[in-house]
Amino acid sequence: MRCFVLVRLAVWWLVGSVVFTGVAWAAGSGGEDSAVPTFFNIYQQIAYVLGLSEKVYPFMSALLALAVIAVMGLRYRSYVRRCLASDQLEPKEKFSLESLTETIAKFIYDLSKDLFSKASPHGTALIASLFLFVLVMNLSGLIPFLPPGSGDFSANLGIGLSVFVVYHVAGIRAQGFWPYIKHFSGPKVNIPVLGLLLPILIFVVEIISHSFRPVSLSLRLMGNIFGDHMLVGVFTGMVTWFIPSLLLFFGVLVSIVQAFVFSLLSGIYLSMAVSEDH
Amino acid sequence: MEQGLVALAAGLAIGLGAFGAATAQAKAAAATFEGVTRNPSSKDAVFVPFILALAFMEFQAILAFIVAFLLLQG
Repeated sequence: MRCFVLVRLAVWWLVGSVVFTGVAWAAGSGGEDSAVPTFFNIYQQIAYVLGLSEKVYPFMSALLALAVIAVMGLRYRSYVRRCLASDQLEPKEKFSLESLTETIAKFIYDLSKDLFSKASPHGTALIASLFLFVLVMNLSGLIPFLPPGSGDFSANLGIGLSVFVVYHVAGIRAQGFWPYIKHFSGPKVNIPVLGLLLPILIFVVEIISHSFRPVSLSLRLMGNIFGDHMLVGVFTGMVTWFIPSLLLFFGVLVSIVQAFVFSLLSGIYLSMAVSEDH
Repeated sequence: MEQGLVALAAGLAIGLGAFGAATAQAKAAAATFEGVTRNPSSKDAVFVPFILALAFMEFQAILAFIVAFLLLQG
């Protein structure tokens, strides 16, 4: 059964690679002038029809991700709930959207159990929505004609800044305003002069590192996805047939790992802000 | 002349960045695999910190990539 699934996946992959390379070739984007071919781009066409700037494509990609997640969530709500209720529900043998949804839900549930010591529905919801959103946005870049929305800095910075706001608000609500501000200045030091100077120094360093967090989150995601997309483009410019499709597998790996890292880091920031002994 | 120097700078930037990140990731992966083969039950405990550490190291290579890209574009 499992073997059959693998064979079917391989056949789909081969068909997809032929279609992908055919599309790249048909777009007439061989590497004569530039190293990076420019593909036909659906978002650009929609923006042109609607009379919008083509810079809005991350927003369209986000809308696409939202639609996919909404359909998946509404259709498989009961399955996911069953999966969360009983801990040992195994994913089904058959490869389908249902088993995929179950696997993802189980994975996120285990992750949030590791991160937050006691069950936190808000934290789990944040991690789950971030993971699904970033994952769908990353994976949509592997479809021909669709650039990935997360390959642009603006969309990622939006997600990163919302994470930034969320974990500070959660920290203030959990600890109170002044204790939360005070925990930036590190532990108490009982030495005459250093006891005054050291907390100020630590406070400044902490503020800088906290302000850099959303930038580093979004820059990491953008660099990975954009770099991967550009790699496919460069290889298509060099070889055109078959070889670029090998990179699609690499692209799937990068997409999953980066979505995982993004949601994991956000969860860690949230749990660090909420926990009191830090 | 200047264009050639910029191309050289971009190549050096991404090359050195990738060298450092790859060396560090190789070290981390080697240590993790050694630990897991010695004690297979530590696999679950090691997985998340391992991925996180790899992501932090990869970030340096990504920064180098962005710098190289900006050098070639600007």
